[in-house]
Amino acid sequence: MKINFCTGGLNIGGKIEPIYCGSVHYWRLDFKLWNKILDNVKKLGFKMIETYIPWQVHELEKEIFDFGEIDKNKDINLFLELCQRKSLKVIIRPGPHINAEMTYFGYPQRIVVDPEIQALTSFGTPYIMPHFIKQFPVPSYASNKFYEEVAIYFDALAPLLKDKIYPNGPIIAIQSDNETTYFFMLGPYILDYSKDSLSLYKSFLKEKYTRIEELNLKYGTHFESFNDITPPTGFTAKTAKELPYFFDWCEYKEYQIIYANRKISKMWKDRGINLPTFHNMAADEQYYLTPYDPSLLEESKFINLVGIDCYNTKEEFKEIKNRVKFMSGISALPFIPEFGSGSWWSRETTLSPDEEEFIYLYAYMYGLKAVNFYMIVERERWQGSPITRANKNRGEFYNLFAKLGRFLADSKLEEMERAREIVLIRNYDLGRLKMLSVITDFPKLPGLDIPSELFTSRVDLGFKYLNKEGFSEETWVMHMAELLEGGKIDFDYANSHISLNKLNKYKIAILPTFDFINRELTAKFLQYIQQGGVLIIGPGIPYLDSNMKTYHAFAEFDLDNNSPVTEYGDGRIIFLQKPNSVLDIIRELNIRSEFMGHGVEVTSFYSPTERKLVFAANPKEPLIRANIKFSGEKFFKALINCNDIKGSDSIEFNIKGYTVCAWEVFDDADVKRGYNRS
Amino acid sequence: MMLTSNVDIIDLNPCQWKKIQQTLRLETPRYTGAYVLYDQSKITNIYTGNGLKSTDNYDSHLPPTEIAQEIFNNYPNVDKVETYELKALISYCKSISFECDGMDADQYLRYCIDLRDSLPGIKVFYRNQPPLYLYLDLMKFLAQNNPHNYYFCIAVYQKKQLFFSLIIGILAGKIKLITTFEHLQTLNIKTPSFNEHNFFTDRFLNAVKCGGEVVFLTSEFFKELMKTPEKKQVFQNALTDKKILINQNSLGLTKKFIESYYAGLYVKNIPERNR
Repeated sequence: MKINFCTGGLNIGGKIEPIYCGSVHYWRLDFKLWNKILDNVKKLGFKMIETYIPWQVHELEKEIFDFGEIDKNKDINLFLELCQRKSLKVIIRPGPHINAEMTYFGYPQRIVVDPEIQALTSFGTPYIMPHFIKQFPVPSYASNKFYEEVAIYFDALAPLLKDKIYPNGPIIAIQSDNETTYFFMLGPYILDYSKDSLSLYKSFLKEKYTRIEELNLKYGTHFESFNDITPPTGFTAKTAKELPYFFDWCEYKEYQIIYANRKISKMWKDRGINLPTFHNMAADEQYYLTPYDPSLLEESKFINLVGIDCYNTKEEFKEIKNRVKFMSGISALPFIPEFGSGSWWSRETTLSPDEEEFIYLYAYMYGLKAVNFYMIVERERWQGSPITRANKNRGEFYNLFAKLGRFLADSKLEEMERAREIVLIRNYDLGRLKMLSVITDFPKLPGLDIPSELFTSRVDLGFKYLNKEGFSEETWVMHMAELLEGGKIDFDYANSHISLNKLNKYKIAILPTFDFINRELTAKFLQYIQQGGVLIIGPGIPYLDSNMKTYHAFAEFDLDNNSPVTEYGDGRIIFLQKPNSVLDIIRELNIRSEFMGHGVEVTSFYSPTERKLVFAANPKEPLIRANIKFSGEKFFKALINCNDIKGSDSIEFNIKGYTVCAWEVFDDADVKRGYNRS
Repeated sequence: MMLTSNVDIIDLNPCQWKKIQQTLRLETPRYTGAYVLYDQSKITNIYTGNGLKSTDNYDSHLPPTEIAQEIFNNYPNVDKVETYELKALISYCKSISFECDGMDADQYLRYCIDLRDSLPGIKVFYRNQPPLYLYLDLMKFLAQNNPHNYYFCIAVYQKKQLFFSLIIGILAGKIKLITTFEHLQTLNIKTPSFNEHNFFTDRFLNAVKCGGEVVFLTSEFFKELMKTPEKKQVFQNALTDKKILINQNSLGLTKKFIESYYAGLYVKNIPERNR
């Protein structure tokens, strides 16, 4: 049977199944309770669950595995059969990395202590991850021996899984690895300088340039072969012309993540596990920056979907909003593969059920379409799930999911699309420049918490716009976002690797441009304009390409402050030195929201059958009196945390602090027809 | 040394756990830090939470003690200054990256922090009092007093209701269990009230078949203990007033820790203190 990710969730043989899923770790529960626990999970409204399948747990020693023959709690076969009997569909996450608060993050001990497998820092030492339960040296995802070892595990596991693929079994999707990002060490010069990684770096360069002469031309060097090249261990450039060498190291770091996931995904396919494959990016704040590149990863043919995990507090609501909007921009299906339901035991803050409810609804309000709640059944080293490991319902935590399930069933949110016509783009190359401009990087050092900015290189590369008077890509994007939000204009984020197809969804794309711009990127955006898009660039007009060669990307348009707008193809390019006038342009293009919140944040959703949903959020502590303005007479049918309201041109309502409410909205015509659902 | 890598951390009641976090946060003061980077004794960067600061206003050869003082003078909100010599950081990074699988997590952390504090190129200055290292010092205390098989069971009551609870099980000299009173269900023991201390102690220690220390205290006393500089006296008074109940057959480690820890016995490893 054909199974694919689609905009509504998973298309299983032609039937769309929304991804509303929760994590259950079978091996951490008493197998005698599995039956009743799964019944309880179903009762809570879940038709889909997710589980890791941990290498460390199933491997007794090299090539010897226990899949329940010795320890019944490890009987993955029985667990999957139970799920099948109960019509619970299953997403599997067999690692090899799983974290899951496990000692050694789910790798067998023999793997992490093997020097041939370890990732190395630029100082030639392994990175000992100072984990609270047990420190361990992290493996390299370039290590050939690592994949040989992983293959032994996959060989043992694959036959079991193959029999359990839907419709013969409950398995409907698989995750490739888990949060593959150098174990949260994002600085470009921290990892990975192991032998196999350096060899992969050279292969990457060879793949990119084919001939060493091409590389020399770009670097201004005289290498005789790719083997002579050593990577940078800190930023030493004195001029912009030296940047390509550093950019390539950044690109290699991104490449290694894609390489690893491609490889792991292919390993499963080679073993007959042909399932929709996804990857989850870590719940890091820098998801839009190198080495993360969800756009490219999702475009690779082995990974069908990339989601970003989310473990935020209510006070971090902006972070949640931006993350979901980013996923809406770059992905076919905005998906949070791990949305904290409860917390790992050593987290600084345990969230209350009210806080969790606000966070979940707030993410849905900005376009979340698919979710796996991590964890729906509690286990060791975790707290605050709706169902305990003894299969007791955890009061308010349990009720929250019952309420959320009802809301999603009533609203049919998966059929709807958030109204937005603008995408604000993070310039990926400028992000690379920011990350690589440090004199050195350190891994996490126990007992020290040093901000990486302390190592910022102070060299002046002679740019005309960048970092002049504190002007950076980040400040420009933040300023633009504030203006749009102030103007009540909903928008998505993306990075500049967004595909043309996805870009074409938007009427307006806003791209920060400074001194240099990638030529392929320029070509893509010009195509976007030709096909009818409106591209807003600024604050600078690039005069270099990303190889730092002279390149007047937008020369043909004669853009400057005096003539900032040019028609091109079916679209337009607009230059804004300062973001302030962006709202005038948007108004001129007749982009406006049907529903405008005052005192509250408001988003609206529309379905192909013309159903309308409106969300309102109060992301502050005090209760407020708010209103939503619109045109004509409308009936707001309450869906969650509010009452039915009828209004002409506006409605007024009270909304408690840290609360999200939602209505289905019926127009004048429906009201006149006597539509009455209350 | 103490924290075994297969420690069971189970049945954490989220409401109680939240209260423990809040309590520990009170014990862990937050600092607004500034950071200074030296390269071969020359200041190359100064960073505060508000971004990189110009080094032009400072003599680039100012030693750490003096730059810390300058920063305290110039930035009233900064209450901690960390200064790093680049070479010392590299040396620290290299020295802690070794085959350490035989070490428990707390032992490794203690090793790293002792090493960090021994490096002259890494200094920390506090505007006021330096912090206490509660977690590490507690671990050290337990290791020194070596309760081989022992259960710590602590319950704080507010207006006769359980506020939070914590059970730590030490087996064969290692912490093997961290849980809350929610775990009592698996032992078939009802959550006790404050007045049931004796009855509960017997049942609990019988159930776990081990010696231990069962400490019940009122939240009122707990808060007072946190605040007062006279911890020893306040503790003694609370014992007399029965605001804290400890079983007689225990090793009396709670009393010993409070007296020694808060008396400053374990305050060390602060390389520099300002003023």
